[in-house]
Amino acid sequence: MTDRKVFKSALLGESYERMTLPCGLDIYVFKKDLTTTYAILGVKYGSVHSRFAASQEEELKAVPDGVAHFLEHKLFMNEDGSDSFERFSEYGADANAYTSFNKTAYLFSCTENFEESLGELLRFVTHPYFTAESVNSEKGIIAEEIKMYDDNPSDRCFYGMLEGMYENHSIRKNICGSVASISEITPDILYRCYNTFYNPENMVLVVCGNIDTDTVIRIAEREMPSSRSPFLAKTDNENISEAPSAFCGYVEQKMQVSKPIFNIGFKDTNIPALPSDRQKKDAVMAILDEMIFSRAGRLYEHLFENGLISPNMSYGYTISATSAYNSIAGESDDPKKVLSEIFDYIDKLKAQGLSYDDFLRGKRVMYAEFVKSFDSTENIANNLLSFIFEESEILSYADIIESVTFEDVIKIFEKAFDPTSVSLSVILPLE
Amino acid sequence: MFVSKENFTNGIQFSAIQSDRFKASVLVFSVTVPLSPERMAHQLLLSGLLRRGTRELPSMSALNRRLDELYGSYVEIRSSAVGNNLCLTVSTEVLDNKFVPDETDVIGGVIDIISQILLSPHLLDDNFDPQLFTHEQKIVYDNLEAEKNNTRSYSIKRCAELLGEEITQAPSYEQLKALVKEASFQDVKQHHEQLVLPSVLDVFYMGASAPSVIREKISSCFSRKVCTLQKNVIPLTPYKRSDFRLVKEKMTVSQGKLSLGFSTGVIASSDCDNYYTALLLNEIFGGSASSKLFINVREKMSLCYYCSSSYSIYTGALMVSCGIEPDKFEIAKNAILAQLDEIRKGNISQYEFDAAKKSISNSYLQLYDSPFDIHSFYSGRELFGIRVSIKDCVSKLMAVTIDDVTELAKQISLDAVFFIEGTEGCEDFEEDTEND
Repeated sequence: MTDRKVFKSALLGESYERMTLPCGLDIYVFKKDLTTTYAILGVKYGSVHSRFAASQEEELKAVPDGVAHFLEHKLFMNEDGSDSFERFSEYGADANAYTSFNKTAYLFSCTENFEESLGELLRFVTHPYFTAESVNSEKGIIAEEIKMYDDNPSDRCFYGMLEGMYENHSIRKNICGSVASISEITPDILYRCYNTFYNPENMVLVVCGNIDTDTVIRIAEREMPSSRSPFLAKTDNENISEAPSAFCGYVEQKMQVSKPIFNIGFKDTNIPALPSDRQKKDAVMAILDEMIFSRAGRLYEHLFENGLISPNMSYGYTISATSAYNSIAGESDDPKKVLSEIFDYIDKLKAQGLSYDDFLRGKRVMYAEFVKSFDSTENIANNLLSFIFEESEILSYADIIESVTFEDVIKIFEKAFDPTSVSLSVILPLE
Repeated sequence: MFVSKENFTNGIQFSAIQSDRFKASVLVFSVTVPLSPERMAHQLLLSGLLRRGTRELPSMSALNRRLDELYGSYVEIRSSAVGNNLCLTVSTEVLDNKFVPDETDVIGGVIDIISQILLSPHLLDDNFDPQLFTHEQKIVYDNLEAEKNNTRSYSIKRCAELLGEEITQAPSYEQLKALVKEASFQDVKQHHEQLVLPSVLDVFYMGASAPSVIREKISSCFSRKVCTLQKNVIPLTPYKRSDFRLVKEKMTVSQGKLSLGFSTGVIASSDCDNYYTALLLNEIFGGSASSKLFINVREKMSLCYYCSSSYSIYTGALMVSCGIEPDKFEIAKNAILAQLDEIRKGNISQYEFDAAKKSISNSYLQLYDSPFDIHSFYSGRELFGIRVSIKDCVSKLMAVTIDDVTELAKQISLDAVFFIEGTEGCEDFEEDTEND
């Protein structure tokens, strides 16, 4: 095992340790004096990794959409016929898993029997067992999950926005795949994906709670392989082949909704190569979004008081190594008018300049949100995992927010919200 | 956990827990009055109007700007029913002063804003602004209509509505929409003046500051508060129907949403611990990933992605919810009932029973990590005179036996079923009802 490295923040009064096992698994232990201990084993493998090669020499090959998510479901089933959910229940732990565009995560929270639960987490994720029968049986369950999301207007609207912004990027495809694509999945495909991506070097274990680091290491050393097998897989960087402009400016669907809902996406292909630069861009854009779209701002006031939006308009900036976008979501009788008002407001701001008071307000909000996120072991563990996979350091984010200047925001604003980059996704009520 | 309690002379009942475990402090202000259909409509409208500003911060954006200046503090105003009681709740989570990099008194500033929201909302000629009222009326109406957007939660709500319609004073979904449309701004002003202002105000605080410091701030900001109404809490009555009711609604969705409403007849009570048995019954039936519904209806039969149950200690309703193929209504309903029959027959393994106890104990102990959850646990029970700590609650759950669960399962009845028939491509709305 490598030496332990300690990360600390005097401002937050928080610290965590990092170490690496001989097999290449990075372990992070974040001590927190709360009742719940939360553990998460993350794999840097999500739905966008749909074309890959097991080594640098091989050619990229595609697998059916939804394999990462299917794999996440199937790993809970063990060779002896038992289900790991039942084992976690035996220990009194609450287990779950999720798949996102960029990662798969297996997790549990508990107030007792932490050691047994951690052992089970590491054991079941490292022991795949798939049969044709169990794979086919899971297809019915996942098909119902896909239909559940299909019936969710917010979800459909969000994907409509991604389909509008991106022409080829895998991010435009549903994380779960489709009923047709999952029907092609076989045990062989699952093993191929597993063997390519579920390498300890491509995985991270994060534990947060009132827990002893030595205990975590002891259990991890017991359950994980003793030697390293290099991680050699390669995947596409699909951002490179995407044009800066949106693929389609308007996407419309009809569903069982009482009034139209919308998602406005501003595609951003200008993604910094260095993780530290991406983190800085993330902070600057988050402050800029607060300045423009916040409920305390003039734009929201105008849209709301003129009856153009319902109260619950949301917004945010998302950035990873291969995709980035700004999104604004809400309900409106006239989504096209909302978009046009947003452009008018942005044009006005570009002509008149941003407000320094708004900048200070945005910074305060971002700082407070970040500090408050350290009040839950679940939030800490999940956020820490996201920062690790983005090759960033979580505790330094407060300093990054503090370092953002008004000039940084002005500079990024000049190029942001390009009208050619926008896609408006709308769900209209059935006629 | 030490809870400090104090009653002010002007009707404020203050409870506080000092804890430095969190970086944010939590404050919850609540007023509870007996529920009636009209009051529910008026209070929904009032909740929206209170967000529109105060005498000193006379617009929503002025109010929000001030909250943002107080380090992104937010104030949430909610109206909810607990049994036949109606609660208006104003809650906030604010950055603890220790983490504020300047001299801003964040918590003092937010208490001041909440006092303005509750005691001196933005008015025009001594009444709510008619224009704002009309806008708010549309928002509330639209929100009620939008309940149907989430077919899963809509199905559960409609089923609970059927189960409780002979007991609850709450209006049905359709009645509530009509009452919101009929209401006037004078009705809402009257509700505020005659019910909210003169009622007892419960205040809960959890955070790092000494309760005496918070007490002083509340006392000073709420010095204008007067209380002329005694607290009148309507006791709980379990949901029960005199006849079985099945309602099917057609919607253009790809998946059917099935909800089953069972009456347990068991509610939270200071005299009887039977509701701990009901909590455990729910856990074994469909409360977790090791429950009978999850393992059998989802995993073994592959009928659905989700099939779970929930139990309310305030209504005694045990609700089952699942998403299925539209033509699997009977199969799924029978599969769910078969699992309940297994419990009735005592077919609960020691493993299942122990796992259910551990799972529920884990859920209760995790409440300690959230000030809002702690408030919800204590305040909900205290309203009905039930004084029990989280640890006592876990001990009582551990004392429940398999026989207790089996006996209770025999007493519960399926009283209501609500089904959204997925009819992709069909655009007609149709309601089909059946009574047995």
